[in-house]
This record gives sequence, C-alpha cells and structure tokens, in this order.
Amino acid sequence: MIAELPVLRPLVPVLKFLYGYREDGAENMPASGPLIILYAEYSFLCDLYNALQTAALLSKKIARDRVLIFLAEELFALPYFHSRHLRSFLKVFPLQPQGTGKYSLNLLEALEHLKSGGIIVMNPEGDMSRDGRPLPAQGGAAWLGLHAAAPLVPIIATAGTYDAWPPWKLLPYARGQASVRIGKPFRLAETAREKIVEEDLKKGIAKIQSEMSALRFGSGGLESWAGSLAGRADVVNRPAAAKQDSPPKANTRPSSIPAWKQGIPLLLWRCPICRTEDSLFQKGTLFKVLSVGCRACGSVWTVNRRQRKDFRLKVSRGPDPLVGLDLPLSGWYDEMKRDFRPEPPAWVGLGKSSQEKTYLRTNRVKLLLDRSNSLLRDWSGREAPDREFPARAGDWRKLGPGRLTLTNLRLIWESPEGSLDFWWPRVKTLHLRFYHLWGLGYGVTPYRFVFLRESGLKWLTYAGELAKKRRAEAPTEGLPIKISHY
Amino acid sequence: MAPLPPLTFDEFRRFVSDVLEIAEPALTPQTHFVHDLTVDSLKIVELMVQLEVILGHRIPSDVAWEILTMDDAYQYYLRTASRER
Repeated sequence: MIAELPVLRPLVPVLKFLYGYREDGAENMPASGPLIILYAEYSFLCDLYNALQTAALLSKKIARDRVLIFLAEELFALPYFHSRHLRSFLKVFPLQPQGTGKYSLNLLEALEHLKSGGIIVMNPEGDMSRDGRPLPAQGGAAWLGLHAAAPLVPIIATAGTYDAWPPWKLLPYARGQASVRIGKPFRLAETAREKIVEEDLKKGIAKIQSEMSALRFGSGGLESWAGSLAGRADVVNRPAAAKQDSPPKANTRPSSIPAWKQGIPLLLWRCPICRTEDSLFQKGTLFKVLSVGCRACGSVWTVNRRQRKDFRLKVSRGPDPLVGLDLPLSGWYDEMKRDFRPEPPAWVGLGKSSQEKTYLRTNRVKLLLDRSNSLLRDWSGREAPDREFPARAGDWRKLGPGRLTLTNLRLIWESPEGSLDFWWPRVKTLHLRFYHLWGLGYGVTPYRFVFLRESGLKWLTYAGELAKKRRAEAPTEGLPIKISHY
Repeated sequence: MAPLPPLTFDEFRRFVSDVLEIAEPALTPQTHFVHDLTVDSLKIVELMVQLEVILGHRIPSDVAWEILTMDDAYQYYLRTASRER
C-alpha cells in the first residue's frame, strides 16, 4: 500500500534494499468500512512500518476522514497530536496500556464510528513487546469486533522486524528481512452482539491473537522463531545456588551507563547464571552487539543475530557445564526470571515500621505530573492525589531527578521539590513503555516515572511479584493491580 | 401504552450487577467504579453501552466520564429516563 502514496514511494526501494521490504496480501484490504485494522508492535521498525501503513491508508479514498486511531498516550506530549490540522483528517485517541481508566470510554466513540462505517486502527496488545514474543492481547479490539460485528484486518510486520531493530537496541541493524503481511478479514461475530460477557471476550481475544501470530511468525509459529531450547534442561534442573561460584548478590551498584545505551542488560537485568542483579554489560559497536558479560561471575555470552529469528546467546565463558550452552534470548530471559523472588537487600535502611521492607532504591528517576495535578499548586501532603484525571492527554511536567524507593507497602519518590507516597492498595495500574518509562495509575490519576540509569523492567518485575505476594497474604485487601506483562 | 415506570435503585443495582458480573451487595450508592470494584475498565464501557440500551439513546463520552459512582449512574439514569418519558 505504501508504494501507492507518491510521497512514500521513494522509501520503498530503500526499505527493499535494507530489509527486503515486501507487502503481501494487499488484495485482502476491504474496499470500504466498517473495519478494524490491527497492528502489532515489538520493534522500532514495526513502529515505522505501522506509521507508513497508516499514512498510506489515509491517502486512500475509502479512508479519507473515516479513520479513528488509538495511539500511545505518550505521543500526545507532541503538540501536533492536539492540532486542528491533524484532527481535520484523523480522529486520534490516547491509549494507555493496561487499565486505560477513563481513556477506555473512548471505545464508546470508536463503536459509534464503526457503526457509521468508519475505520479503527489499533494495537490490540496495547503495548510494545520487549523480547519479541507476543504480549497477551487486551480486550478493546475484541470488544469492538463483537459489538459492531465489523471485519478485522491484521496488518502485521513480520518477525524479522524484531531482529532488525529490537526495542533494547539504540540503532537498527543495517540489513534484515522485514516485511508486512496483510491478513484476510475475519469477524468475531456474524451479527452485532448487544451484550458481551467475559467468555465472549476471551474467545475474541484468542482469535485475534492466533490470526496475528500466524501472520507474524508464518507457518512455523512462535516455536520456530524462538528456535531450539536444547540444553536448557541443564540450566533449569539445577537449583540456582549450584550455578554460581559466589553467593547471589542483589543491587550491586547502579549502572553508570544511561538506560538507553545499555542494550541487552535492559532485558536481562539479572544474570541468568549467578542471579546477580545489574551485573550484565554489553559489548559491541553502535550497530552490532557482539557479546554480553557478567561483572559478578565473569560469564560471557556470544551474541548471534539470526535474521527472522530470536537472537541466540551462547555461553563462551562461565561455569564448565554451561560453556557452549546456546539458548534464544527469550529463553535466557525466562531462565533469569524462573526462580526470582524479591528479597530485601542487605543495605536496607529507611527506618520505617517493622512491617515495611525496602526492596529497591535508585537516585536517578524523574517524576512526570500531569499539569492539572493539584500538587503543582499545593504540595503540602505526602500522599499522591488519586482522584484527578488529566484534562488533556500527554500534558506532563517533569520533576527531578529524585530518589525512588520501592517497599512492600508503597513507592516513595523524594526530591528537593517534595516527597510523595504511592500506597500499593491504591495503585490500580502499572505499565512500562520501552524499558525506561513507568506509567502508574494511582486511583484514577496517572503518574509517570522515567528511569535514567536502571531497567524499568526490573522495577516492574519487583512490583509485580510483590503485588502477587500481597494478594496471596491478604486477598481481600485492596484490589489487584493491572500490570504490564514481564 | 403507558410508559414503564423507571427502575427502582434495587432494580437498577440488579442491572448493574448483571453487567459487571459483581454481587449485588457490593454495589451501594457510594460504590466508586474505579476505586472500589475489581472490574476491568472495559466492563465500565460495557456498563455504559447497556445503559444506552435501556435509555434508548447514546451517552456522550464526556458525560460518561462524569459517571463515577453507582449513585452518579442511577441519578443519570433517572434524569434521562424521566426526560425520555
């Protein structure tokens, strides 16, 4: 489709040369709405392809003034996304992964739009996958598909977009095999459903996931993309303590490298062999990752990129039985998480109550407050307001950097500007954009934290595991947190 | 045919309980949909759609944003249902 738009036409040979760009299934695109277009997002190259496809779609006659798109809320920080120019030809709504809170009511408008023959564009996963594997789809697209009985058309960048520019890498590889497949339209219901129950949604979500996955990974599926896990039993069948030369250490020291430059250690924030946190470092050039090493146990992995497949990491130095072990990056990620249980480190010391245990602390975190947040007018209390919803999406004011502390009872942000407590029972949602941006829904009020030195994924994992523990200990206290997949 | 009388609060609560798949006793006039219930935000959207069905007209999304508690929802229903009659 993008070759049909004169302004994008010159890009096609460039993408063809670099990434073997091709569009398969353009004939599957229906000639008119109503229509729900599904995108996936698991690489920065996916984002580029999705943007190009949207531009091409908008140039088509059938789509003119008929497209409503759900975009990541962070994009609304750019004034253009509020501009009259954009809104003159496109309806745009903010999307917040996990609990979208009041933003989810925009689905009412989307449903009306579909009923009047419009086109909706959205990423049903609501977020970017961090390790190349699909995320669990959220319910929005299925809900619309069932209520409107509109056809859904997946326009999916193939799995090769991940290895060409994975989300943990600053710059893309110069070459790759990354195309776009336009799937056949499918429906979740033959006639519009008046009422949708949980069961309908689950079936709808499963159908969407299977259609998207088939286009993304081809006939071999996810297993073929990830590749062999042979040898993994050697790792998983041994208790963690037996794998290391020294006892596990947590939170050794914060990295001095900015988070956006860290690479694979953003995903592998804990050594999969010795279990030491923040101990991995990456070696390579701007364009190519060569190896990953662990400062704590001295293990080294050689990184192999295979086009259209997951990266392979082979142990080239480490404990004898593990040398030569070659697993996909997603396999090492699973191995890293396998026996993870948050433990308060030895340096704890907030001087809080005996029930409060500190798990993580970092000094380099910025806090983003929505400009309508009452704290910006009166910061007298310590607890963060939880009943205010932004008047305008993406209108953030950045504070800090400050110190962020994660305890079993709350999250504490401290800086010269003021201190804030976020008590876990009132935290409704927690999502991670890329590896550095935390979105926290405190009641209905959104907050953002920008991690400058650490992997936000590590913090997300701690918060998620502690939330599980709290639910297990006191199932009736507070509500479960909706949290990004980790 | 005379129009049906509007739902009582108990009947309305039964309707909400059915849509949200939440036990009726958990729904009091003060119940805040976001703060007090373990429901997905999608369920709140579904509630608005079902409210539209019984009212027979569309709820503008800016109005839907103001419906935060059971009482808000019931008062909105009563106001709108009486207007429709």
